[in-house]
Amino acid sequence: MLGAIYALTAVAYTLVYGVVQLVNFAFGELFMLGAFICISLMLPSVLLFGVRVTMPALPLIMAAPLAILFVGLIGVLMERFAYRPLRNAPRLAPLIVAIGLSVLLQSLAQSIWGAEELSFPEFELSKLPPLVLFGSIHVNVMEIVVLAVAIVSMVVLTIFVKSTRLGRAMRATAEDPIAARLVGISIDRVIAAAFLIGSLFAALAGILYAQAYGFANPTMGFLPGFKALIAAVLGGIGSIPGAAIGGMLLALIETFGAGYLPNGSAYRDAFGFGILILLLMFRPQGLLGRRELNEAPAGSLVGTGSSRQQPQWYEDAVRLVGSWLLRFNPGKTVLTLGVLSVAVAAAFLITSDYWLRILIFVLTYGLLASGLNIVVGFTGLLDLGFVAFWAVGSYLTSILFVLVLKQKLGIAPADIWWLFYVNLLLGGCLAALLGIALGYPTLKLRGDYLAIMTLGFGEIIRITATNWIDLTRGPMGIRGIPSPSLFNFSLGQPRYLYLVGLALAVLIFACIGRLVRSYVGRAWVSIRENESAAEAMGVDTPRYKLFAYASGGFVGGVVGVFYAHSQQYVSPLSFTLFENILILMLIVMGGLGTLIGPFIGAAFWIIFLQVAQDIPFIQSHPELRYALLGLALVCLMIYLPQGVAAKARIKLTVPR
Amino acid sequence: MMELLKVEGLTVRFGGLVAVKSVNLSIATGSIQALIGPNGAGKSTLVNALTGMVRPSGGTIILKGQALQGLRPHQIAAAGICRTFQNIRLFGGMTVLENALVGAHRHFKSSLLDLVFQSSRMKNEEAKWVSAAAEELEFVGIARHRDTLASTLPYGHQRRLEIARALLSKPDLLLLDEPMAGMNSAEKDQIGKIIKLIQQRGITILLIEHDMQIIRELSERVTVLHHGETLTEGTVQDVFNHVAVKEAYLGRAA
Amino acid sequence: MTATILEISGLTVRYGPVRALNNISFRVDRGTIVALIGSNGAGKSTTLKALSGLLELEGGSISFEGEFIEGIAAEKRVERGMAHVPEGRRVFPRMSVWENLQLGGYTRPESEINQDLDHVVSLFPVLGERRRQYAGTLSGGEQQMLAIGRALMSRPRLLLMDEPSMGLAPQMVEMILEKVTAIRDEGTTVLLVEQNAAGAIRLSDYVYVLRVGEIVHQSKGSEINDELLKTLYLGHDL
Repeated sequence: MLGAIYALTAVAYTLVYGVVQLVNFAFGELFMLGAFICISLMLPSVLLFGVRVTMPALPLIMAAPLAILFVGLIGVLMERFAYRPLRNAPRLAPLIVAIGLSVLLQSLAQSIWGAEELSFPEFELSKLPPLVLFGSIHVNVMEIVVLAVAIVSMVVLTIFVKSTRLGRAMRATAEDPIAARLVGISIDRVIAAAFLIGSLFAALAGILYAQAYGFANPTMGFLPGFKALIAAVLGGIGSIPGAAIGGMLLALIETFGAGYLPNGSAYRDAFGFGILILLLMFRPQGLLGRRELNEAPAGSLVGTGSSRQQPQWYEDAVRLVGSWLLRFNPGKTVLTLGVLSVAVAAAFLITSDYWLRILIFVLTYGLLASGLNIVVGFTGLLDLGFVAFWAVGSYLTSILFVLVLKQKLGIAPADIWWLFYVNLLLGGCLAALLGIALGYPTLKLRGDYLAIMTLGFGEIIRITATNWIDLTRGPMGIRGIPSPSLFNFSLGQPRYLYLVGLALAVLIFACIGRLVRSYVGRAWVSIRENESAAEAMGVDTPRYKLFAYASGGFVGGVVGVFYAHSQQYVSPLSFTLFENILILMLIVMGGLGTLIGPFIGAAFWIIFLQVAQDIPFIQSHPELRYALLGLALVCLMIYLPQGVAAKARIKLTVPR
Repeated sequence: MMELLKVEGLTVRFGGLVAVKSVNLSIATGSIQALIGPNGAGKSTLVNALTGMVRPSGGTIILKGQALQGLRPHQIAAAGICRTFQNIRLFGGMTVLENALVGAHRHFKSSLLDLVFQSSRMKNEEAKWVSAAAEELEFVGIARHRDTLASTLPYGHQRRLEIARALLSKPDLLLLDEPMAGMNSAEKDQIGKIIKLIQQRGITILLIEHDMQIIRELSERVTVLHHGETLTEGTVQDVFNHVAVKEAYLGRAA
Repeated sequence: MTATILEISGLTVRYGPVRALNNISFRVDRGTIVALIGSNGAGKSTTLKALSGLLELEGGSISFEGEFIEGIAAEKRVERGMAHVPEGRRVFPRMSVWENLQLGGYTRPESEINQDLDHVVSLFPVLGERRRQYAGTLSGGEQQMLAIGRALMSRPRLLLMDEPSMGLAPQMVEMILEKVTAIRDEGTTVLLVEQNAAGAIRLSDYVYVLRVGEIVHQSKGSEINDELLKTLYLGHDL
């Protein structure tokens, strides 16, 4: 049954990918919305934004089609307003928009329906007793219904694509959009149709899923959505029968893996990702697919923005902010010293521990974003598994200090205070090694597949951290990590922690800056701008890609060590995909491929979080902040793809 | 005649299609060799095969005694072949100077520690190549645009930057893939002069070009490609008088 | 019905930073074959793409059957009676020959498609024989016929053809060029872009020669002799 649900959602990915070569991550969220809307329509009343609203209490048979249509409409609007303006932009831009839309929809759903789950109301069919087949097999009536619905809708879709006029036009557009226009096909209409049908299927799958498990919650879309994507890739993205086969196969593998492998059920979710990674390494076109889908997104990272004329005030504002930021260009010694002394002075002038802690957050996230920026911003490789490096550093130091030294060997952390400083390096190096190990299999991948594969890696590491309880203590996390100290002097106070963080930031910032302003940075950016030309000019692109992963990983590892000691607690919850997306957003907000951008993004975001807390409406719906973030990301990609600090583009030569 | 490059039996297949069929090519050191042929004749595929950007399915490529077939593009660049692209492939988000410096990438020897500690070795190396890049930009005539983003350069300048970038790799053999495409005759003359000067610096050139007048002015020998095969090879005059060449270009007179 | 089906004036097109067409003007009379010849990079394909709406104009106007169409999307121009056989054929490789042809009639009422199919098959019988085959498995010449057939399915009054002879064996080139004449004789106007200048001149009623984005010569085909052609085309005598 799970197979049927994966297959239906996989169809959504496959249809849209086939026509526009876009992985619309937001289908997972449409899946979730389908369930929520359907349930809401079936209830007599429901709490929306904490207000009780009367609902029609429709039977499932009416609520489901309505919900599906409504989600279809959202899908079409999404295409029209978020994707269409970026149709000709480099591939990374729509991909980031997809991620932004995901965050937006998920957070919006959380604000509207609350973070709690909504249980699926009872209806006639679900109350029927199970059927007994051959005297021994008990089958739930609803299971049969789900299977039948899935099969019927797949068949209808296949016939539609095979032999209707619009279906033919869709296939033609997928094969050659230019030739399609030349025979009179309106590409806009075909793409809108693909989004519509895809959204209908995702919503249908969501409703079936929710009734099977009896509830809906705002995050329910992520895992099934992602697995459906795996199923689509497994079957060969772009192929409808492939999606069906992929969905069934994935569900089978998961069920058998969970049942027969030792401790299999705990790692159930990791199987899909594991298969995905193997698949992308050895047969990226999937079982029934074609090879072409792994193309280089040539040209600049996210484009230079829409060509349409912006209002004058807007241009002025961008220029003003840009020129203002330019002055932070760390090439200018005096200003660097100035900024530095302000930052140091802040430690002594700010008396509130609360604000100092916020500054520590800014530094932590700014550094993480700087590390990821090497990979995404400079080298142009979309990495959705970056949190893994952060996790590796955090866990390394936590396990060493708490589990090994304190608990096994009985050594007090104060006696080995220096280990913290060693661990900074050790954590960095371990994460760098991991970066190379994880980067290696991705070398041949480009564009969307690269993003999907790195996402898979990140998830596997998180699932491992959650389930390898002997090593990591699983979801409980590790407590009691000592604060850093220097000889006998504890640096645990926020003021000193901030200074340690600042020192780290300065060091890392300087190192990144120096690497970037050299032949290494030029090699990275040349890969981003045009990989084949870079190779032809003598740049060993695999080597520099691995080096980017390793450098980014190193930074992530170092920050992880610092983070563990400043929080004194680590758990797998800190290292979710959402965190990765958040870090990515910070860079995009600040400016991809700039040095200062990540810090500006981090400062904006964290200060925004604090300020927003004082707004009453947001206070009662804190998730709205993330919805705003998602919305901001989408708007940035459309209107200002190079970020706020775009004008602070750094020179790639040594300053003279 | 000293032979710089010797290509024998080079074949490139794409699926069932044979884009380049057993092509032989020999380029004398210090010469300008032209490669001509109608659209779809396989010229760009040949250049891509010579630079490792497509993998040849058969044949040998020997540069100064070193076999290059099957090597990756950056290894071929290191061996001494560099190229420009017919459809300009600059690094749009980098400045003109930075583009040129990527061309010099293979000459940088500083270690990571040199970079992080800004050692004098690294600074000297950087300074040396920045001034070399500045010279090449001057040579192709775009020195005053050195801090402009490549994507915002006018078209003719972009072509010049492609040449400067390739020159900075200090190649023995420079492959120019239609360096004058889309230019008017005055601009073409200027590029022609630059090509002559490059030859005088001792760099061997393989030039793909459609304008026969330019070919007559610049090159000593011409190879004609048609349907992926060598139609003829010889001096400019021989080739232009060859009947099959006329037919390849103009079609068969009825 | 006026004699002129297509009138272009002051057409200017940019390809990124390159000005590919510089203020060109010409016209095409109904029921004729007009050839556009010139060497690589002269702007021939660009002209066709601008006419069919694949490229945006920087300046100039296109008047088709007395109406200005430069603001109309490519897919709408097909409905107006203009079809483009693109360079490199661009058939839909993983769809059958029949589906390719049906797509050619995308803008036509379903009821008339069968009639049009019969017409195309009568012109290119081989397409009927291979109707169930994937277009990608056809030979180069057959793909070219399919591309032409697909364009004819929209019942165009003006057919734009971009290098139909490219990459084909000589006999196949002859056969395709004969078909072009047949299409003209059925009343469809043809604007033909060719590298095979000799062949194109032989069958056209009127010839324009393009060079680096400008029209450098125009005359009846019969008035172009070999010497003139070489000078115009190669920029220099051979």
